[in-house]
Amino acid sequence: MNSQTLLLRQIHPTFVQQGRVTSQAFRPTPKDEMKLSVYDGDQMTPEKAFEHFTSVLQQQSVGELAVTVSECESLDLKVEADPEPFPEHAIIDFTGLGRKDVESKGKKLKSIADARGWLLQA
Amino acid sequence: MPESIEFLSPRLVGNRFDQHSIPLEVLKDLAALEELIVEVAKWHYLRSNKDRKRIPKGFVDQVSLKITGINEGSAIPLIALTIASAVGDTLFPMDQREYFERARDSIIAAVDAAERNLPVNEFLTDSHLAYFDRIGRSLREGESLELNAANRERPARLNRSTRKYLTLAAASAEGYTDEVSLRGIVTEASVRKNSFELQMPGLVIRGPISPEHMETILDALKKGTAGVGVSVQGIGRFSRKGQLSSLESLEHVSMLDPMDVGARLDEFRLLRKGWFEGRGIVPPASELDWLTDAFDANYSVALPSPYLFPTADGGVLAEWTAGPWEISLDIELPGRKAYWHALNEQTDDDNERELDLRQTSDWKWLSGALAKLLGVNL
Repeated sequence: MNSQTLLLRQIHPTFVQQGRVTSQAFRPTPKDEMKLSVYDGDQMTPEKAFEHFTSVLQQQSVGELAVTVSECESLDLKVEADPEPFPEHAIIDFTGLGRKDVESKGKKLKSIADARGWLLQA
Repeated sequence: MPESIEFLSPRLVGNRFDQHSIPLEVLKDLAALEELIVEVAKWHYLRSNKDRKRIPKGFVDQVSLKITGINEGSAIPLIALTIASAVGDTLFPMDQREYFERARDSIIAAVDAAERNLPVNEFLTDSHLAYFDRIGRSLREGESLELNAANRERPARLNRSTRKYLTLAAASAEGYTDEVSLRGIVTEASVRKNSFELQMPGLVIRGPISPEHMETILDALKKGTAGVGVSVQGIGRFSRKGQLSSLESLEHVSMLDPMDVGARLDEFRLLRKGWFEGRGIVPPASELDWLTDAFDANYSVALPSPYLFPTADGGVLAEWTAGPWEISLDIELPGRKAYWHALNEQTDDDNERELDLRQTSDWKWLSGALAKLLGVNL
């Protein structure tokens, strides 16, 4: 993983309305222990990541958006490999941030990912 | 000379009847009540005159029920029984008054029994009970028609609950009808059969198309493929268990804004436990009803509809974009509290606020804050 590594984020079908993706797709939920799960794009292509998420993990996704490691770091968000659930798993770490900062950084990540566009759409 | 006597002074109770006014749609209920009174009067006549094979001529024609005034409190229509030909004018004189009064009393007794969950069949027959499918159908939740308003202890309240009880008390009743307001997508329409199909979350029903609605329904069919829905008001038919099975008539139909709040929230009713990565909580249906009504009541039509998303913890997230501002309102259900956050992505300015959406003042603050960022005059 390096600064240009794409971090792939699966988007739930209900997280899209009239083409708009919600910013909550890029912030951890209360049960995520402040860590947002992503796929390490150096280890898995968007197609393979999508297949893993929907077939192996049997979760729902309408596609993938992505941010890079450096884009996260520009927002003071650390990125770490987290191979415990599966080898290609990584996390964007929001630990220690208050709610307002979580919201702001989530919104910024979403805008960056939006500007990049969909890497894959089902 | 026509004779007119005071016959019935039912009391309509509910906000809509304040200032002693009666909405026109409620007159349909009173017209159906008149039909029932006539049928029950005929029944009483035949029961008291077992030697008679049929109802005498003029028994019905010479009698009519008329509203002669509206008293206050909330609204009390004064209904008079008018008999066109006085007793003695005909070859076979009779006094219908007695049978109409007995009819009125039977109906009041049946409604009173229904209110106390007692059998009603000793007062009215199955065919009479079927009239309650129409009498009181326009009454909304919290409204009632007190047929015996003079008796404050037992005013014989006809409301949504007693009306359903009376309709289903007829052994032959397969269900009942009720006014419905629905949102869905038109997935099929047939000009030849004058019918259409409406798809809603977890339910598909058919309904008739009246000529005045044909154009809108066909337009809705075309746009339905793009997910654009319609709002439909009419009379729905329900099974005995209360399951909507079809539309019996269509009164109003209109295209929905693709961003319609109610239609979007309806989509969340299809979520299943664990919907988000195995741990998504489903928002309670009653809370989605509340949120739909709350937006209807408190959210200015001058503002753009929000984008709406379910949250993993069972709430709803509303979002707006206003130039450089990204705005979100994280609504907690069933707590009905909300967290406002707005970020200017160009300047990094941001602000937050906790809101209590049970308070009208907080909805006003929300509208004001959005209007300011969006440049909208409320």
